[in-house]
Amino acid sequence: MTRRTQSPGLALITAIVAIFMLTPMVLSTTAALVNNYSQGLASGLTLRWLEQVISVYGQTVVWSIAIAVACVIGNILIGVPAAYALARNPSRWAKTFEEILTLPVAVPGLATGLALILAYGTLRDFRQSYSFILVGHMIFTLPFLVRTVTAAFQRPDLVAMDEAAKTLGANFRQRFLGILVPAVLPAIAAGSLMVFTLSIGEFNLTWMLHTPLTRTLPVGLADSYASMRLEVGSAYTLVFFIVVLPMLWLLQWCTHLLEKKYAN
Amino acid sequence: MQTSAVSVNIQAAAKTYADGTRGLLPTNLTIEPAEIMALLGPSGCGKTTLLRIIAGLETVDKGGCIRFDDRDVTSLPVEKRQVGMVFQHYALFPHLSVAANIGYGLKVRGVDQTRQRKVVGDLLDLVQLQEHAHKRPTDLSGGQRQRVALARAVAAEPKVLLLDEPLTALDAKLKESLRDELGQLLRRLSITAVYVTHDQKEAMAIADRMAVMQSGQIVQLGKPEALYRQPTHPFVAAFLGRVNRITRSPEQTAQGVLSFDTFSMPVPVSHGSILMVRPEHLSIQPPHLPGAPGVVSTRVFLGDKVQLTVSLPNQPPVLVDCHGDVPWQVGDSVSIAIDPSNLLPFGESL
Repeated sequence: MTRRTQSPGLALITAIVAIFMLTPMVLSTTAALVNNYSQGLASGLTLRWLEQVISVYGQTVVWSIAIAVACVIGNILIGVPAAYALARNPSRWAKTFEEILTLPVAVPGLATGLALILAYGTLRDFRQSYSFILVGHMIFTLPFLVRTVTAAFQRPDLVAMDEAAKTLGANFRQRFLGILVPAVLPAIAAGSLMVFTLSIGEFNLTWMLHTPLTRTLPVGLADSYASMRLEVGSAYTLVFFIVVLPMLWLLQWCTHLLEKKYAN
Repeated sequence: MQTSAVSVNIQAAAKTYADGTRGLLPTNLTIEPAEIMALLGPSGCGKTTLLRIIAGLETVDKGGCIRFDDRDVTSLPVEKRQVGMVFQHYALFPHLSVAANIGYGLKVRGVDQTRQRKVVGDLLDLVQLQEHAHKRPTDLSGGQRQRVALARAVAAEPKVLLLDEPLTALDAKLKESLRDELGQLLRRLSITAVYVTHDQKEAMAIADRMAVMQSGQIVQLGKPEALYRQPTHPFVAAFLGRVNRITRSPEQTAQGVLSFDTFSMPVPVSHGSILMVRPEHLSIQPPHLPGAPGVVSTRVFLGDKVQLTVSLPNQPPVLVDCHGDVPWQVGDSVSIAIDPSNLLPFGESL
């Protein structure tokens, strides 16, 4: 309380910024719940736009989550060993490899998507399945996990733990799965959270890779904005919030818990 | 615990790093069974490199050879070398309990559960951490962590125990009390041990013999007392304690004397022109008695003793340790008696 009285100017600026940022969110979600946006609340509240979204686009929500989860699992399986290899390899090649790995973050998603289509578009079953989108998401999100976990593996205490396990007679598999991976679990969780978040909201790349039968939530969102009533589009946004926010909070909470547990 | 300790024999072990720096010059060292050998020296002297070579964490340059008893272990990877190592910051596994940390070496070697429990229980008793068995390492104090690290290192009955500055991570006061405790523990284990430290007091308190290292090589090897009293190299003299340097002119050296103005004493020609003497080996007396004439320039009271700095004619000032009750104050004229037998003889090796 004393703080507020000490700097009223700062409090005012904070309030203005907060209102400026929250207004679009509030307007967008209320638009989803009114009968007619142009008449505003006077037209009455309804859930029918939400129902319409769920019946038309419900599948995209399920697939988006499935792809994000698969993306996290796939990236852990590929990314954690890759991170270890990069952390323990001081050569120039390793540095170059890490830079190449990071490229898809800088290159526009559309370009990555086009490259994937050029290379693998002729494999029809692959091209028309959700795994094509999954591959795109993994290419885009892998560097976020690899970077975080590589940094963790490079910590001097991790190097010492690895050496300690060696002197105690542990082979590589025992050290990697029994000591190193558990020790970098907070980093893996933080990286996974990043991967999940990026995959759920990814549009650029997915728009290039999708087919009429393989659509994710953001692609469906674009479709609804372009072809449906404004209220339906807004309802879709609301669905996104309702589904994704609790999942993100849960993941964040897990990450935080792990970090606390392993804090040195 | 250990029934038959092994000897460690190091021959022509050298280490050149990828960038060409030489971490260790070709070194020979033999450590007797159940002996505690300290590798002592300033940072960058090669002591840790030598320790890591014995462990197998560093490969040795071609031509070097490491033997445990008669067995050549030079090309044996660290996992199979059967060494136990205590790391500088302990490197305990944070996600495992104290008991699981200690038992890790047994578990990965496939020792059966009953035996694991027995050994871990015995070690918890030995290091007095029974009631902490199920805690995480992060919940322990520094001294307790250090004991867990030691118990973990010896659990699988290694042939050689290697300790890399195991007390460095502790604060000064705790360090002193744990130093003696660790020394006793190591003797009770009767295992061949190599102890790396940059702290000469720690090395003297714990080791049977010590190797003083400088610039990648062993300068002198021997029992702590012998090294302190009869250093063969000025670096060893200075590293193990404080020393005063007294220089004499070529004429004095040739005549076999050491002179201060009017006072002159015989010092053999073979002692060379630079003489070293420890502060506790100088005694201070009233100015009319025969000795080097000087003036007290600083006086530091340390409780049980007083440390005086005395200016001498044509010499850098010397440090003198005296009893706590000496009357001399700053500005007093005094005379310093030097027993020639206390001068550390280095000849012309300087």
